[in-house]
Amino acid sequence: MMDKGNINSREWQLLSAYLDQQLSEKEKLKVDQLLQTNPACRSALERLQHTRYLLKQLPIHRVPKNFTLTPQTIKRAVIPPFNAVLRYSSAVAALLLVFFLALDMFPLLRPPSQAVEMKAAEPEMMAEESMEFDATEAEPSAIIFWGGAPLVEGPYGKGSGMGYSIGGGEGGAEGYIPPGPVTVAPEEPAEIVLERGSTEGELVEEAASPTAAEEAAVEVAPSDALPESALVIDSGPILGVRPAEERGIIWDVLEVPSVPTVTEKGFPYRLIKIILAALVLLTAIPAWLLRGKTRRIH
Amino acid sequence: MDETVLIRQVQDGDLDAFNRLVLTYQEQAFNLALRMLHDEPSAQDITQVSFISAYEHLGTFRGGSFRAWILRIVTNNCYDELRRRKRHPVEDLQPVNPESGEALEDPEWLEDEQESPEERLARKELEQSIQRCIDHLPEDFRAIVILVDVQGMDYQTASDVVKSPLGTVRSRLARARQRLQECLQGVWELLPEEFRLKSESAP
Repeated sequence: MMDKGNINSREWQLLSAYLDQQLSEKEKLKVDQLLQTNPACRSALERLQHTRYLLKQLPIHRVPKNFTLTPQTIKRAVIPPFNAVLRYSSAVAALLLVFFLALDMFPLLRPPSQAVEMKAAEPEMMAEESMEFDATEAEPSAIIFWGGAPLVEGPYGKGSGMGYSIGGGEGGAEGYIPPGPVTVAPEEPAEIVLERGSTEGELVEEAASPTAAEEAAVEVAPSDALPESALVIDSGPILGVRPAEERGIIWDVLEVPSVPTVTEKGFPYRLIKIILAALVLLTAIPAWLLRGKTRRIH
Repeated sequence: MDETVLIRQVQDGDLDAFNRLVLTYQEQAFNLALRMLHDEPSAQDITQVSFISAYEHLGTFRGGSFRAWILRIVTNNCYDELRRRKRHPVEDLQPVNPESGEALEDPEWLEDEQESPEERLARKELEQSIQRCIDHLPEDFRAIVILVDVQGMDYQTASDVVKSPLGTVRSRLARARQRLQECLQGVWELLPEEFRLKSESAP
C-alpha cells in the first residue's frame, strides 16, 4: 500500500470516488467517519478537490475544421495504402513459405498422393546419395584381395581386418566378398592384422594411413559378376603389406549403375518455394523501407 | 432528431445522417485526441480517421451510447498513435509563427478573442502545466482522467468508452489524480496566482 500522507491507497480511492459522489451509502458513511476522525484524510480530500478543480479549468478547444465526410473521402480511405498491401503480401507469402517448408520436414503432412510419390522415390533418393558419395572420389575404388579372387561361401570377415578364409585360418586381410553389394566401413587408423596361417594369431600392428582406410570403404558387386578384365595385378609396395607372392590382386571394381534422375512429379513444390521466397523478399524490403510513413487525411 | 433513427439511416447508406452525428461529437472527439496526444495535427488526423472508421464499421455498432462508441474508437486510435510514437520517436510538431519562426504554444484559432491578454497568459500557463503533467501519466490513466475530469463524464460512460469495469475506472482515476496532484505540487509556484488557493466545496 502506498502512503499518500498518512492515508493508504484504499482510503485515497474512497476519497476520490467520494468527491465524484460515486460511493454506495455504506462507503459514504465510512468516509464521513474517516473525515471526522482523521485530519490527514481531510487534507488529502482538500488536495484532491484542488487537483480536480484545476483539471476542470482546461479549456475545451474549438475544432479547427469540420470532420464531416464526403463520398471522395470515404472512397479514398477504402483503398488500402500501398505499404499496407506490401506488409500483408509479405506476411502471407512468409506464412505460405513456412507451410511448404514444414511439408518438407514432415512428409506425412503432404496429401496422400504426394506421400506415395515420396515413398516410391526413396530408393532413387538413396541411390542418388550413394552416387554423390562415390563422386567425391576421383577414380573408381580398388579393393585388394589377398590370396586370389574371393570365394562365394562362408561367413563374412570378423572385423578389424580379420577376414574369413577357407580352411579355418583367420588370415590378415583375407576377406570375403559376399554375393550382394556390401559396404565395408573404414576401420581405425591402426590396423591389426593376423599373420596368414597362424591359428593363434601373432598380432602385427600396422599404421594404416587414413586414405587407405577410406579406400577400404567401397561398394562391391557380387563376385560372380566380376569380369576378368577388372582384375589387376598389384605391383606397388605398400607399407605393411605382404610380400608380392602373397599379395592378392587389385580388383578394379565398380561400375556404378546409372541412376535415374530424380524429378519431382506432380505439384512443383520446389518452384513454389523459390517463388514464395522471392515474393517475401520483394515485398518485405519495400514494406520495411516504408514503415515510418503515416497516413495523413485532411 | 433521435440518434437511433440517424444511425439507422446511416446504416441504409445516408452519409448526411452520419455527418450530423459527426457535427454533434467532433468537438469532444477532437479534444480527447488533443489532450491524449498533445499535438494538434495528430489530433486532427486521429479524429478524421476515427470518423471514417466509424462510418465503415457502423454495421458492427450494437446499440447503446453512440458517443461512448465513437470516443472508444478515438481512444484506441490514440493508443495506436502513442505506441507508434514510441517505436518511431519524432520531433514535436509545434505550430510555428511564420514571422519569427518560433514555436507557438497555441495556434491562433485556439485563442478566445474576448479574453484580456493577462487572462490569456494565465490560462496558457495553467494549461501548459497541467498538460505536461497529463503527458507523464500512463496511457490508461490519461484516458480516464481526460474523460472524467476534463470532459466531465460519469464513471459509467467512461467505463463504456475504455471498455473496463467500473472498479477499474475508479481505481485508475484515483491513482491518476494522485499522480497529477504530486506533479502539480512540483510546479505550484508556476501556476497563476488565482489558481493556487481556489478549491471546490466538498460534496
